[in-house]
Amino acid sequence: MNKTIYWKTIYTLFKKELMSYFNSPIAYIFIGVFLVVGNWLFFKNFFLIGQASLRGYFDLLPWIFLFLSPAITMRLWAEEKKSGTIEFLLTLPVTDWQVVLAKFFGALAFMKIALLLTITLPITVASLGNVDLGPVIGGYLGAILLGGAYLALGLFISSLTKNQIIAFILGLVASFAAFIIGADFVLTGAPKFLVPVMSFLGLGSHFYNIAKGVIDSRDIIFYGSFIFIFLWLNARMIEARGWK
Amino acid sequence: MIEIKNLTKRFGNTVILDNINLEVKKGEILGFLGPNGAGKSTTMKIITSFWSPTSGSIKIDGLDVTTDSLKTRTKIGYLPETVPLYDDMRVYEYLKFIAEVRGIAKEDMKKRLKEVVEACGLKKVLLKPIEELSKGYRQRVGLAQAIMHEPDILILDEPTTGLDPNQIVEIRDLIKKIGKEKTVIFSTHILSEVSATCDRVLIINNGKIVGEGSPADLMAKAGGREIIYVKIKGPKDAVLSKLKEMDNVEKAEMKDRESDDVYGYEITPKEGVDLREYLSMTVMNNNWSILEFNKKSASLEDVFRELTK
Repeated sequence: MNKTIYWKTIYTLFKKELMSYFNSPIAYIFIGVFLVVGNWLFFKNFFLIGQASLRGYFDLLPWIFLFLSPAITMRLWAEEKKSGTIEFLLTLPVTDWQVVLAKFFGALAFMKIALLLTITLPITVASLGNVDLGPVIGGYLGAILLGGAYLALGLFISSLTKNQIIAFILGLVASFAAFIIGADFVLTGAPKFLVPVMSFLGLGSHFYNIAKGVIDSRDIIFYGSFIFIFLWLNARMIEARGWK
Repeated sequence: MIEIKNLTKRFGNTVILDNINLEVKKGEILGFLGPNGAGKSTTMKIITSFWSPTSGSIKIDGLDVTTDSLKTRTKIGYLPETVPLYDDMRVYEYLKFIAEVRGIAKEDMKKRLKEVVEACGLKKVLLKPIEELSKGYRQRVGLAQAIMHEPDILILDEPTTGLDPNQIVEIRDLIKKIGKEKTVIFSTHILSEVSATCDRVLIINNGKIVGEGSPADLMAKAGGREIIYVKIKGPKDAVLSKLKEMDNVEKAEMKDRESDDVYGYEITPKEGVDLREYLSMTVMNNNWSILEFNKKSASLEDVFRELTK
């Protein structure tokens, strides 16, 4: 297939995916809750600490994302399966990979829109004192990468079931496990030889590196590979339809 | 146009399709008949590359639907049985999305959308969300989606289930109209639909083709046997025994009762015998009278029941 047409088709599917978020009120509710919870939790401690830094917010973000990401991805495959539209979608002249990419990019775009709306935070904080820009940029970059990883995982899980609620809960549990596996308090209890592996595999440690403003290509490659693996598994899962 | 060779589909140990062979010519309207679970939908799902076959092949214009699936998909318009549509979209949004994803060039899009909306009679509902449409309109949107890219082949899985009689006629006319230039395969439970629309009928049962031919052919194959229904005024037992005694009668039985001495009887004559004249004479000779008389030929229903028992 011609390259331009290949990407044009993905773009068409992507537009439809993104549009369907905003065709239902759920999208606005998600974004509303995300902003309210994030802002409230952040400002609750912000004035106690009294530092013009967004560190507190980016420490919180992975935990808020744990709930937001599976909520974004839960319906992506589950609903297509339940309503049968998957049969229409996958008999279009498109590859399974194109559909997976379009769904992933749609979910990521939605998350980026939610993140964009938190821009009031750095603006507010900057008006109260001097903000170091590095960690803010790093924080957002890390958030997009971490969010992308959660979304790829959640999208894959959505392809395993017809039921959105199951997709949400499994997505939440899986994301939590992938995040927590590298956390300090888990590592202290783990066998010695596993510590470096677990610390590397955990989604969290890479995020905190980037959020400090230290942008290391290893962390970026890690997230890229994580996302790729789950999108690849997703495409295989879709390909295996009708084998039962 | 479509060539199906030794097609088999199994899920685990369950055989859904068992060695199907079929050729569909260009411009043909082919009806798939069969009880639920016979393998109609499965065949369609494999032709459209939604599922892959366990063994055997399907070729469309010489292209294999598994290995050249991206090309064969562009030649096919498909309406799945459940008419799955994106309920949250409005009709025009949806059709525009279909046009785009089917790769219709920007400059042709307006014209094509207009044609499709016209052909399927969707003008009135263009601005409505799909979830608010009636079943008839949903079906039309589904058809519009299937013909958008002017495919050579249309595959419609039970396109008239759940519609009221007026809608059925509308959709059927639409299929006939489309079928003038295209190859159409559609499945149905409604047997009259098949004789009304199809050039050829295929009866599937338990994953096997059990009957094939034009509707007329199939009926002929079922024996072309006719049954005579006659209502006679006269004493029941005497009439019945007389009917049974008649030459060339294979079977005679009492069917219904109108009043004390008026009963309806069904008579199956021996093959190729015209019994009418002799029957009326027999009745007259006994001073009874015929109040009603009609001849039923074996219907497609009988063929269907015979073949899928």
